[in-house]
Amino acid sequence: MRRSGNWILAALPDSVFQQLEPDLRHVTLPQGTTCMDANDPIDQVYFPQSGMVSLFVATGGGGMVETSSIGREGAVGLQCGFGPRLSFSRAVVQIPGSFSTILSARFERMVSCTPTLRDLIVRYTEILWSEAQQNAACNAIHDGSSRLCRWLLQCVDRTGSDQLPLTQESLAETLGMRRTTVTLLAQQLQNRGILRYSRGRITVLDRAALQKHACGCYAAVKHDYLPYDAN
Amino acid sequence: MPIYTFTLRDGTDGVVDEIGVRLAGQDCAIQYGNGVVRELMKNRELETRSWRLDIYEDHDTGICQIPFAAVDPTLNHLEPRFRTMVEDVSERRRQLSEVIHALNTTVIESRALVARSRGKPYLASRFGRGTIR
Repeated sequence: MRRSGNWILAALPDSVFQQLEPDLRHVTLPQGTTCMDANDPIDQVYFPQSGMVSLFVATGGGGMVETSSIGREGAVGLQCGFGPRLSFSRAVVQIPGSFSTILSARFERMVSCTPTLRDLIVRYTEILWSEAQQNAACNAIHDGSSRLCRWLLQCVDRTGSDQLPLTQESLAETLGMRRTTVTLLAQQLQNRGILRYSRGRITVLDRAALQKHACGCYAAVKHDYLPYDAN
Repeated sequence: MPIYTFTLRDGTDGVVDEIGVRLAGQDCAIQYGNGVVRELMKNRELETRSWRLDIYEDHDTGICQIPFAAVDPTLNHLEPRFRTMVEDVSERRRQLSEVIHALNTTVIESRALVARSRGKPYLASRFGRGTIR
């Protein structure tokens, strides 16, 4: 079982991971897979090893906007470690990849007898909460171009890859903009040599320039994603 | 239903949404275009005030041009004649930017052509595009 790909699993002491390992399953999930829907009971925890999951909230009229995203630095559905919980948002695989999963009942049992795991959940939940606040502020005051740059940088960090399999439609839905707007913004960045866009794939060519164009929200939350130290 | 495509004139070569959107008619296309302009302009009105979005039906027939200054909500407090002045200046500013950009591109291309003709090293591509067209 791969462990180092996910920072939460990697932060667990060997003795704790060995107890968790027999219950972990390794799965590959394609883009668009719904891990859990809003108000559904959380029945599994997903630890991304290489993919990324976006959390969406409904905006009425069938629209959805991303409030946060989770990659190798975190896990989806961790809160079920404290007992049965309903999901606040819809969790959808945005970037396909491999995931380690565990059933919520088994995970809850592990958490109840492992203070280290409990602490990691609390720490990660705090990080997710601070990021959601930052995103709310970002959506209110920053322009589309810098938000797009910030989001792409976060994707690169969370997946550990400069190549992102993303369609313009999914990007538009994620950022709450029209598809045409995203296309025009992405082309402006492409003309400046910052990224290359070909059907369904974005390649970040100049990370430093992308960071220069991103809003300050990227730097504000980036420090939270350093690998955890459980000791 | 016709396909509507969009070209953003931002003071450079411009960028094009070649995929386009299938919409019921020109009114819908203009409404959609206005939405795109608002999204591109939001929270950076000053920076984008000189831009313009051109809308085309079935890739070739221009149906509408939306200058950003014309829908900029931060200019709503101005008297109509002052607003018109700002819109005119914004249009001229974009035209000037386009000319300067074209001039720079020509200078870079000319240098490359001269260097190549003399058998010397030259800048072959810039930002993924060939320098010599």
